[in-house]
Amino acid sequence: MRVLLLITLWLWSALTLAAQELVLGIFPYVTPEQLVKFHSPLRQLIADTLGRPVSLVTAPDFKSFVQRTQEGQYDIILTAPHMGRLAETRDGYRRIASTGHEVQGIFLVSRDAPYQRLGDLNGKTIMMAQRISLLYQMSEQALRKEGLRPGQNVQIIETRTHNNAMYAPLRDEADAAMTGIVLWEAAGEAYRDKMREIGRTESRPGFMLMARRDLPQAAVERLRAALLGFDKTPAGRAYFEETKFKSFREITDKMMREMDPYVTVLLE
Amino acid sequence: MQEKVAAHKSLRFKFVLASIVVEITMLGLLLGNSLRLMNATLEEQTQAKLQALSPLLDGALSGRLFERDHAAVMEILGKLMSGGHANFAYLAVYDQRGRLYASLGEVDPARMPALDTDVTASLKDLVYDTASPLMLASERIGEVRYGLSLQSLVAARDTLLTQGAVIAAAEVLLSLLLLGLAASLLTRHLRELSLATRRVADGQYDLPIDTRGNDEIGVLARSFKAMTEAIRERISALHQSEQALQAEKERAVVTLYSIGDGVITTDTHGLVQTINPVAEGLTGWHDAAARGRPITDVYRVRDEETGLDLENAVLQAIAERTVITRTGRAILCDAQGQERAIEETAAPILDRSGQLIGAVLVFRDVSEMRELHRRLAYQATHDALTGLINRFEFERRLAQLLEAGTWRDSHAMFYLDLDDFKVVNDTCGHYAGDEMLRELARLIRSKVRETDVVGRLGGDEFGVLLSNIQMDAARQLASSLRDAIQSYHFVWDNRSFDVGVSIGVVPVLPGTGDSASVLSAADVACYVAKDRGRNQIHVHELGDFEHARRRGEMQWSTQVVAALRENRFVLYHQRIVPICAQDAAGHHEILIRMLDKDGTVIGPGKFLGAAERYRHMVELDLYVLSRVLAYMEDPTAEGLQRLSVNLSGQSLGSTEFLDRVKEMLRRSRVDLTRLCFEVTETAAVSNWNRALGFMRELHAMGCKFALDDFGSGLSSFAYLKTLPVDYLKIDGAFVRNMGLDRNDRAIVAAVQNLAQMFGLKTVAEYVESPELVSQLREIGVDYGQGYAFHSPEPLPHLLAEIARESPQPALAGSGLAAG
Repeated sequence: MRVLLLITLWLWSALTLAAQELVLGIFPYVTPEQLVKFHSPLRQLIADTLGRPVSLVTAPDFKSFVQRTQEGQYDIILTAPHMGRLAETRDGYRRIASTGHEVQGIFLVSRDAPYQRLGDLNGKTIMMAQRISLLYQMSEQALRKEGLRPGQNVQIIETRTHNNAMYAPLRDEADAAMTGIVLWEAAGEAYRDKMREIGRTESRPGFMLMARRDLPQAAVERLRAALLGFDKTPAGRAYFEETKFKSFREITDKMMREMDPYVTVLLE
Repeated sequence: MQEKVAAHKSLRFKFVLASIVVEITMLGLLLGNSLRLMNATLEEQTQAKLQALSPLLDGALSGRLFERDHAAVMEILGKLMSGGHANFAYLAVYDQRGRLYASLGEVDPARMPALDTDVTASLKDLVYDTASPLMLASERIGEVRYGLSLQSLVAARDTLLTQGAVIAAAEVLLSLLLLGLAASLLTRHLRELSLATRRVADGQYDLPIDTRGNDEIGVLARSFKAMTEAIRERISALHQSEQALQAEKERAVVTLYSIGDGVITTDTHGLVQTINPVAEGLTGWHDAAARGRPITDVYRVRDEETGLDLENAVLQAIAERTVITRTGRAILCDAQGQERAIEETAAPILDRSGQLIGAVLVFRDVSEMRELHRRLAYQATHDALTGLINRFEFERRLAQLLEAGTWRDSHAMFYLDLDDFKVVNDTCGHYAGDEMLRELARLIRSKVRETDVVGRLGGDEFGVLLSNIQMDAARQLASSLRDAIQSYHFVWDNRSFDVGVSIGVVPVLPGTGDSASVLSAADVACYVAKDRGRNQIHVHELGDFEHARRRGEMQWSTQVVAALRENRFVLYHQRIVPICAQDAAGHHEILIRMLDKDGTVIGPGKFLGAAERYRHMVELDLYVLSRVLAYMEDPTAEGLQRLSVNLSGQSLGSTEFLDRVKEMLRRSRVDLTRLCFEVTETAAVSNWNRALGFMRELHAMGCKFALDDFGSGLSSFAYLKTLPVDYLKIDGAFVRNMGLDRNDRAIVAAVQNLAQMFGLKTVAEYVESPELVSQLREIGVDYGQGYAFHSPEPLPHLLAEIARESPQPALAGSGLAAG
């Protein structure tokens, strides 16, 4: 009798879960249009793997995303690595996988601009994404190495997304721009011909895909397995070609520890 | 009376009304179409606005919705609501799963209005309810539903419509005024024309009509003026025609009332319409009483012989549509019962199209004429002296008996010739002889049966026709008749005369011969009886003809032939003297005599009968004519006005004779108007066709013709219209006794009237005394011939006399010898 009751409860729970929608939150590293365009295959993979509908959402800015992650508004998140570290450590999210690419910032100027290296940007303006982003923090490090101190001999113009920051020199909104190398590689030839690189930041592990702690472990495992083999499928190859993420891989503790220095800014 | 046209029926009103109706209809259609177009535009604008709004909303909201940036979404919604372009009534944003994410405006999210498919559906609340998807990278990430207020668009549309309606109303009003004015100007001339037509209808043709203007009304005015003038001219012509017709009618009425015949006209039903005075007198009906009455009441005729009513000629003419003429036996009974002999002609009256419109009856009183005719007809068939039928009638009845009977019938004929009659004539004169003949005629009549026919066949010759009698009985009857005559004594001036009679008896068997042969046989039998002595009866035998030929006429026939061969005929003449005629030149009748071998002159009575019986007359007539032409060619004969030559019936009937006469006349140098041929009416009538041809041909050549012995053999006057006759010679039998017999005088007068009627001259024969001349002058007879004027004498004497004397003819008394 008790077995029958348990079976019934399990079945009810499974049916309920199957019908319940999952919310996939992606941190707003590009415009919402690009987010949807890039990650609809991922949403479909998760939905197919878990057998549940998946709703794709984002947040107006990184800070909001971090806050909503903390509030548990997202069942699954694809987020910057330092935000992933915070989600694990503070909000209890569990690791699923990380993207295969490295997070690295690239400084860009107009092709005919007189700047050849980062040091030429002294007294100039640089547009880059929000201060709490990983790339912002890695850019400050790169600039400092070249003797440039934001707010003093170089002016940082903060914008909402890395994508918006990338084309600022072409719009004459800033002398230079800093964006993720992944975005630069994904930019169209028309932009690439008009701009040129004058410097890079250090590189760090890619984005992290994490699950809220109430998502069953089996589901997490099933999802990880699907993600790790995703690059072997046509849909996966197209996805990675579009996002330049290359693949999904296991998240190691080393990756997590490397992110600890960048978490602080998220907690301010 | 002036006729007023009601305002709502006037042309002007109809014109304006029609124009306004058309205009209102067109404006209504225009407004309706504008409304339709505005609604369509409203729809298009709304849809265009939606299409414009959709990407804007998508662009503005999809990113923020995807980011779940509620504040930003609300901020956008607020701006949209407050913006003046779109006029949103409400906005509501839904997420990917249809859950309401944000809303603004007057809407209950729990009871969202249904989406509108077109503007029409949204006109109730003037809010167009619609929805637009929110898309990112072709992914539907939500939806925005919003209500678009159409109030301003509808208000703009309504404003446009109101303005259009006001403009349309103003246009209609303006059109009304302008059309009314135009119609008034256009119909002003029509009113004038209308007034003019009423005046023309009242007879006023001299109207000032304004014919100016080159439009249709101007053309109409000119046409109307031309029509008015044409009407005036035609009415004038009609008046003239009416006057002429009236004058013509008056002339016709005067003519009708002046005409000597009775004239009655009727309608197609035979009801009397007009009756002239003569007709009034003849019918006894006055015009007023007769009008409208059936013709059979006014005009009743019956058959003279049967006494039965005759069919009314008018009704017959109407029924048969032909002219009905009756000249013979019609007797008119007038209103007082008096009867008149009439001749009538009824004819249908047809109009120009041949339609019957009535009938006309023309009739005249011919009582006197018919009485004369009747008496002449009697005279033609009866012997004036004895009252018995004459030879002509006797022959006719004999022929009738022969034709009507069958071979089983047995009839007989007596031929009586008085013996010694000449003694009475010679000793006591013609009057005594005539009286004796009258008494003997009565005697003979009394001795035969009532059914037997007794006729006088010659001077002292009688014939008796006995029907249905056997020869024995006939012979006995002949014997008793002979005895009666033998016993008769005629007393004159205290002297007594006995007469005898020779009787030839001949059987009359139908189908065995013609009347001439029967008469000839009886004549021969009589001759044989006379040859045997007085008071003999001889029944016809086969040898009679041989006997007669040997002893009688055959001898004369032979003598005629010999005399012609030996030129032993001599010509005599007798003057024809004017009595009432104005011409004075000599007119003579040529007579013929035969010279015996011893030089004795033989009268025509001896040989003409034989010459005629043995057909020598053609030869004899040619002989006379050639002699006459020869005389007339003599220069001394130029004083002769005209010579008359007698022609026999045989000659008239001979084609050869005509050819030879024409040849002789063509060769002759004689003026043919001086030549007159005398033919007896009996000869002319019995050879009618040839005689007519003969007379016409010679008359055309100039010759004159006289109808001899007129009245003796007459049966009808009709042939006088046809024969080319110039003179009527009144039978001497009437003339000779007219002093004693009033009937004879009446006949002579009637013949004179008849001749006048036909434009002919009359010649009285046997004028034997001056008293007769006076009576003939009173009657008006043109010429006379007889012993009172001239006794016949040989022709050479005439020429000698002409040569010797002046052209003035001398009157001499003598009797006519022979014709």
